[in-house]
This record gives sequence, structure tokens and C-alpha cells, in this order.
Amino acid sequence: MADSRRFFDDIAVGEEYESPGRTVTEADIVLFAGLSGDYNILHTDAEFMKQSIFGERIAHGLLGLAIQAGLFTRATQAYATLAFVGLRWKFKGPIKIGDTIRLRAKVTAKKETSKPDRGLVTVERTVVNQRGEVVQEGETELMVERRRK
Amino acid sequence: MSVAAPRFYFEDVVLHGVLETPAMTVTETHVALYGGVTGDGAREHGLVPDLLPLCLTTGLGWRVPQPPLAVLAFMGVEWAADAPLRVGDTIHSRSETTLKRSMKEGGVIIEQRQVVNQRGEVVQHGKFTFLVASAPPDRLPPHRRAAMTFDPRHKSARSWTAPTAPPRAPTSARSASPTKTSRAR
Repeated sequence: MADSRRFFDDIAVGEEYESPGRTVTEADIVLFAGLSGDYNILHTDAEFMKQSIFGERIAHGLLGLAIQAGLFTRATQAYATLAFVGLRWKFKGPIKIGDTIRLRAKVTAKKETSKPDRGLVTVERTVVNQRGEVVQEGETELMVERRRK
Repeated sequence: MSVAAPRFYFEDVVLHGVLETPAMTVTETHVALYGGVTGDGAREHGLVPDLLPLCLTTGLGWRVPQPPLAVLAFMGVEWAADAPLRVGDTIHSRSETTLKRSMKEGGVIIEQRQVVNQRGEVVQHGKFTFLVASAPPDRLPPHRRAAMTFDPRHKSARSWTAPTAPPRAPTSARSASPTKTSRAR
């Protein structure tokens, strides 16, 4: 069976992807608090948060980051990723229970490395909610395999 | 009588203070739960998904004998992977406050953090930027700090606006700034 993954050679600078939407639920936040151990009142105390500027519990910033990573796999065919190199990320606004977020991604750079079998791909990412507001944004760097000559 | 939970305010943060957490073993269950919630998975069987150690490190900080930081906003994170993490590996984290900048109310802190495995190798590292609340004006004397709480109703919480960009890494090689992107949309 042919390898359907997208290699460094297949990916073009300027490519853009948009993911399907994903509604962030109370269950997501409760599970993420349990998984991560981050029980900050921002995410776990509904009564307390009624009095806050947010008016209700908000999702963990890192939950939004992790969900967009999941959305990326639904936005484009899988890359032949060898390694996650790093990211730079900004949290611009809250994700509230019931908000529907989607990912917009764009390949902004490709760089060859000292190893001939791989290259570095930079993807700029924006997470927007149902009102089109940017709630998170940043960029990730991935080491992607090259096609064998 | 109710006693409010303790919080760690901007004034309590010690510049260059180091915090080392207890360790935890990353299991197949963590990977499965993470995959179910986020839809993100590992690149190959037996590996831990790339962003899972970053997510677990926030909770590790809740297991130290220091009250949780009174975070008003998590502004940003820069993160790098140094080595793969496998299911069954045991991680802990080590962090140091490297910047403390007072704002009109509260302040910004930058925390450098490392995730370390059972062999003492750094598997991931990076920095977190937080906006942290000031202690309330009616703050109790230090020996009674355990009876204080972070209150989002306090005026320092109301001053929250969309966070500004965290300081960029000097190594950043890029063609367009994310800020430009958000304006364009």
C-alpha cells in the first residue's frame, strides 16, 4: 500500500488548512483537569467563576493547545513527522464551555537541515471561536521526513 | 467559619526561586485519556504524544508544598522537545522564575521549566508567561497566609485584558508574526 503521508518534499510554503469545528464541553474540561492535575479554580469552580470577569469556568489554555493539535490531524493529511521540535504560543482570550473552535494553519517556512533525510517545517496556527475571535495563536516546528531518492 | 484556600500571589513569587516537583510515571492510561479528550495521538506506539508532557507538567506543580499561583491569565508558552518520552517513563519538573515584572496591578512572571526523566535527562523544556494577581490590600500577616485566597472579583482581576505578546526567543526565525495574522482575520 502506498504511503499516504506527506513528506517534506510534498509540503509547500503558503499551504493553508482549516479544520472542522470542535465544541469544547464541560466534560472536556473535567477530564483535562483530572488528566493533568491542574485544578485551578478558573477551570473547576463554577460558583466562584460566576463572580469573575469570565462569568463562568474557562478551559485550560493547554487544553485548547492540545485540541488544536488534534484538529490539525483532521485538517490535512498526516505529515511524515519524525519529531516535534517546538512551539511558540499565545493565549489571547478565554475558551468557554460550549464554544466551538477551529484551527486555521499555514505553512510559513521550510528549512533543510544538516541531515539529508529530513527538513524543518514551520506552521503558523490560529485557533478561532464561533464568532471568529482569535483565542489562541502561535507556531509550531516539526521535523519531517524527506522522500527517499 | 469557612477558611479560604491559600494562593500564591505576585508578591510571594521569588525571582530565581527554584521549584522541583514530585515525579509521576506516564502510563498507557494517560495516553488513552489524552487521545480521547484532544484527538491528538502519538506518532508511534509506545511513544507519549508530543504535547502530553507539557500538559502533565502543569499539574505536577500542584503537588509541591506551596499554594497554587494566583494566575489571572496564562499569556503564553514557548516549548521545545529535546528527547522522546516513552510510556513507562517517570517524569518530574523543575522550574525557575527568571523574570518578575510589576504591572499597575499584579505582574508578569516568566518561569523556565524542564521536564526531566528517571535518568535525569531533560526531555522537554521551555518557558511559561503568566499574569499573576497582587495580594489583596487587606492581606493577612505572613503567618496567616494560609487563610487567604485569590479573588477574581478583586479589582486586579477586572483589569484583565487580552494579554500582550510574551518576549520572543532570540532564536526565532520567522517570516510573519502571529499578531499580523490575527489582524488580517
